[in-house]
Amino acid sequence: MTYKNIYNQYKNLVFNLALQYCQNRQDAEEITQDVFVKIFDKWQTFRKDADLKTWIYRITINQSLDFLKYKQRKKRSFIISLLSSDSSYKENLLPDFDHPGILMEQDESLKILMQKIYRLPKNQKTVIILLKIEGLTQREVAEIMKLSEGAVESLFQRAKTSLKKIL
Amino acid sequence: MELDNLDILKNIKRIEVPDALYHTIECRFEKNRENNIPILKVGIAASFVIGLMLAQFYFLGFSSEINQFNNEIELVEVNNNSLYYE
Repeated sequence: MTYKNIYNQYKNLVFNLALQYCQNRQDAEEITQDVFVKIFDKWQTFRKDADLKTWIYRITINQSLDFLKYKQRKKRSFIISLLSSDSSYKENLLPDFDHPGILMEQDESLKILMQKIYRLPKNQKTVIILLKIEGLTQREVAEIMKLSEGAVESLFQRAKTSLKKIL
Repeated sequence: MELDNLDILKNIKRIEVPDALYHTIECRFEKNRENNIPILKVGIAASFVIGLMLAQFYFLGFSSEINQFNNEIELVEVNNNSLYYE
């Protein structure tokens, strides 16, 4: 399998998954670049008997979460340096929303829901994205996250409770 | 908002990746590869240096043994009964 083939086969999966995490087209492109550079770099060490799709999902999720952590740290230090008030501080930690898949729908409730999901803890966010947006089964999500199916179910319930609190 | 509304997440449209992205990725990958220091070459160089150092220690130790032996020969006292300034 050539690098170009891998890219063609998984580019949309990686880009759209990154987009659900960062909710910004430019950031998603950056994450997609990072993910494929990492995949090509580690291709020689990838066990060919392992599931490629699961491996790519894992790399994309980790890269997206790392990117968000880095971006929020950068934003936080910038905001603290400006000594802004508490309310505007939280608002500023939300993404610069530019999700073409949602903007095309012109559905305000969808946009609000996505912004709430953005504020969930990382594991809860991942479960919601994989189950509800990517449409994976509980077993697939459990394999990607290296958890039991029961743990995925409990994370999903917790995510719903957290969303209820935020909504 | 009802939580059943989580199903509206399925309405999110899938987006196509811009075509130019692969070229950027390829360039970044090539650049990374050029910047990577080959571990095998570094390993060979390091073991060569260590080998040289060990050889140096070994030969230094050997030559100091010879020196010590020479010094011992020089320090052997010569006992004769001749007096100085005789």
